[in-house]
Amino acid sequence: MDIFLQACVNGLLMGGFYSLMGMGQNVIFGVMKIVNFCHGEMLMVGMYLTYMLNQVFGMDPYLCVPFVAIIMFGLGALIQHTLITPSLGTKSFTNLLFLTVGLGLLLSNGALVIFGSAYRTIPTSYARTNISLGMVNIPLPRLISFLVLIVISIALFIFLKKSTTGKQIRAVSQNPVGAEVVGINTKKIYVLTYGIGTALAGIAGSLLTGFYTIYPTAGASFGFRALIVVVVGGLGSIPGAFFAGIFLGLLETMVALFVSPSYSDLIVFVTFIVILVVRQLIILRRK
Amino acid sequence: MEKTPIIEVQHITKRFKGLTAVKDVSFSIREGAITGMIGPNGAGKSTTFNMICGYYPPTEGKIFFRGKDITNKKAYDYTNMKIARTFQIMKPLKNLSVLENVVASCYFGHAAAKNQREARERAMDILQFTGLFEKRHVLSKDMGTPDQKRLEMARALATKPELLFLDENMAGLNPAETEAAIELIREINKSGVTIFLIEHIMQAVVSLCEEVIVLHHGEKIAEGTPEQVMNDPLVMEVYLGTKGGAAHA
Amino acid sequence: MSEKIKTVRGYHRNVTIVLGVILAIFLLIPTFVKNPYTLNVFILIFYMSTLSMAWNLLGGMTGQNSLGHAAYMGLGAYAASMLITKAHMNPWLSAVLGVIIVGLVAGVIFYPCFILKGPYFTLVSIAFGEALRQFIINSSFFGRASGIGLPFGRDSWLNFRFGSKEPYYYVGLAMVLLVYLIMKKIERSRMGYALRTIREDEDAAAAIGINPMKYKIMAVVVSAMVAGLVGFFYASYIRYIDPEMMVQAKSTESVLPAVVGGAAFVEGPLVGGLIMIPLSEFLRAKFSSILPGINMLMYAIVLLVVIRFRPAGILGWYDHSKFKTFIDTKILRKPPIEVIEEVEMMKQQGKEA
Repeated sequence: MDIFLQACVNGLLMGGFYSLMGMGQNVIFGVMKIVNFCHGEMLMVGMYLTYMLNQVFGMDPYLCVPFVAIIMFGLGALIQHTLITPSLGTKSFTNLLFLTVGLGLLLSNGALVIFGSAYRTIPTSYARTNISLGMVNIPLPRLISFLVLIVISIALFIFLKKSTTGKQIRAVSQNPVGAEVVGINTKKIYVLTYGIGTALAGIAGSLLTGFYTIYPTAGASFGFRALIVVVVGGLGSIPGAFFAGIFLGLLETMVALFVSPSYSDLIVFVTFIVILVVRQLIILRRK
Repeated sequence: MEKTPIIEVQHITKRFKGLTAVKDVSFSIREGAITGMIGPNGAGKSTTFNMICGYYPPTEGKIFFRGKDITNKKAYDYTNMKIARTFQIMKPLKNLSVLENVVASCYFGHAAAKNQREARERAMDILQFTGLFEKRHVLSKDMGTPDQKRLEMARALATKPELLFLDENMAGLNPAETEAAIELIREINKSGVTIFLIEHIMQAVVSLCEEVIVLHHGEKIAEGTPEQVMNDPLVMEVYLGTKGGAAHA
Repeated sequence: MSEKIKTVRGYHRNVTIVLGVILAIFLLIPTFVKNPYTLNVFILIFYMSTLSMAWNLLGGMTGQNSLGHAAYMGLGAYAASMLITKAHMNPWLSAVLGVIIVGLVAGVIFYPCFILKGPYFTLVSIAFGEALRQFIINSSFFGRASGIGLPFGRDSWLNFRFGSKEPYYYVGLAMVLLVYLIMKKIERSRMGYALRTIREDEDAAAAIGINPMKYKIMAVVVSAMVAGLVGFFYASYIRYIDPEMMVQAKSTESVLPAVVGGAAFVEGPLVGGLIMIPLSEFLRAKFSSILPGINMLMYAIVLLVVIRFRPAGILGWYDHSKFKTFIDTKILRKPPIEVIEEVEMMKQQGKEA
């Protein structure tokens, strides 16, 4: 029983990261209808940024989060402005797809060139501290990370729901032409959206460094899981992405517990294929 | 003696999530004629059109082609039955030349070309006929609306239809271009193709059609010759905007 | 009139001469180049360009952007290798069987996935590739993560194994040519027109009588079979395969030649491959010991620059360039297209008469 509970908690804690990644991907996909194939690499960049801030200034990884968020926002905005917005004009889905794929290659190999392939960690005094809650033990870094990302999720939800900018983002995602007509600067919204999306990925990366190793391809599995979260949680739905992420985290740990840890990837991918196909069948049936 | 109509529509209804777009519409299309369907915006013309073309099936009712039930036929089966259509929002194959656009059509349908030579030859003939020959090497996305509308017809004709559905083929054309389009449609009809069209432009419908069907709020409110329909009091009220009908139209 | 016929004939002759010279150069390269490293780069160009052509049939011609082609290649490599090592089948026979198996798997398992469109199709192709890789990693029958080695031995055409690179060079060249001719044939056939119509608009395709699902399946089956063939070639050449060859980054690599060269052209993957692979290999050889990753970094930069500034790829740019006008008029002496058409018409009338 306590193994099961422990697995649930672990799944929940990991799922939170998938949620955060999924939300970033969801905002970008919702607004521009493009799949951001370098989302996982953005997480990896966030990890290395945290690592550098820690190495150079001796900052605690959790203190780095706001700085990483700001830098990543700037990076995302720059990429959107110089690369993606001009290519949106060609209306070629293929080009947009391979633009983000190319960015992913650029970032992961850039990290390889700069930092090498060595696995890095950020040692902290509390890395081995466990919080005991009855039958389950929760490592302190994981708990802090989870709490921070819950706060960020709620903040994002409120921002999109209540603020003027958030409403503009939602307007553009529903009807870009209509939004333009009522005077919303869609290009500005695109820059903002991509910035927010990458900042969220960067935050996820930063929060991971407390207990995860840092290497150039660390983001890949998170990147793909973010896509699963978007599809399962529903387009444009922040709460949907949140729960889908948690679900995915739980699914993985349950498979690892009841079947075998080595099968968890296989089952995740097969489940995803089935969900994609069934979802489309339901859409076609409705027509 | 009454011949079997080429198309017979029996009591078709289409509902989208509770919204009834077309309600219990019946009519028939006479072989060899030009039949038109008119109605104000949102009257259900396009929905009716899409059901007859197999784009989506009706919720209720049946559609017959020469007495054969074709209600649930898929869109891609239609050219095999010698029926072709055009789209209101033109769908040219943007990155292909005009010639290639038409060659593509020549390869499919009931009289599909067997080889490239045959396909090209037929495409050339159709381009001559539709007046696009001089522009055959232009990419279709680089052409203006009138030529793209012509290309829509050329692509449909390339499947050698006996029945042609035209979806607002004159929308967005100026009077001179409309006149040219009317002339082309007449030519097509003279070559033995039955035509069913939906249209906004009154002038076109009156001068072209032998029979007209009027839809309003998803229901058929009149049918007959253009003259009969134009003088129908209900049609005058809802469509031509007399007696305060302008507010509805 | 005969003047026109003469110019058209002259043009066709010039094209044949140029193509013949290019082919002759490729045939003669191993006679002059004995350096195994350089030959290896050429072999790499051959099989990567072939893989990219396979992708291009589905991506460039049909508009279905797959990011799982490394999985088909891996499947072909595994199917052939299993037949060779476990069933002791002749490599050539196992190549044929392997390619058929890949076609079947692609057609049957992938069938339901084709109801997915746009980005969803791309997602399912990634998931499919990754699931296949995970399946192999978890299956002891397929050798798990440690992979399968092919037997070594004396040079033999019958067993398709050689110590030197030359035979692989010629087989690779033959493979590129064969696949290129098949793709060219498809492009001009009914299937090619159907695929391009589907790429432009599925509703427009259905309206002229194309069943989009049927032709998409045909495209994926042919595409996967070619990728499977490349897999067999790779396995025979390297003589060792493992699930690493199916990772998603490999799928991406298979797409790059097509996108850089021009995905709308059958020749795109060849042009892109001829440029990108030597570049990548040069960077790898020069810098990878000092700065690992630098070759892929440059690769990524080239890709981004091409997409940003030449979205139609190198051939898309060439097609509208003065350079092409120069080559057409000065070197090939191409007459105006109307003249070519006129002469073709005359020829046909002559045949019919």
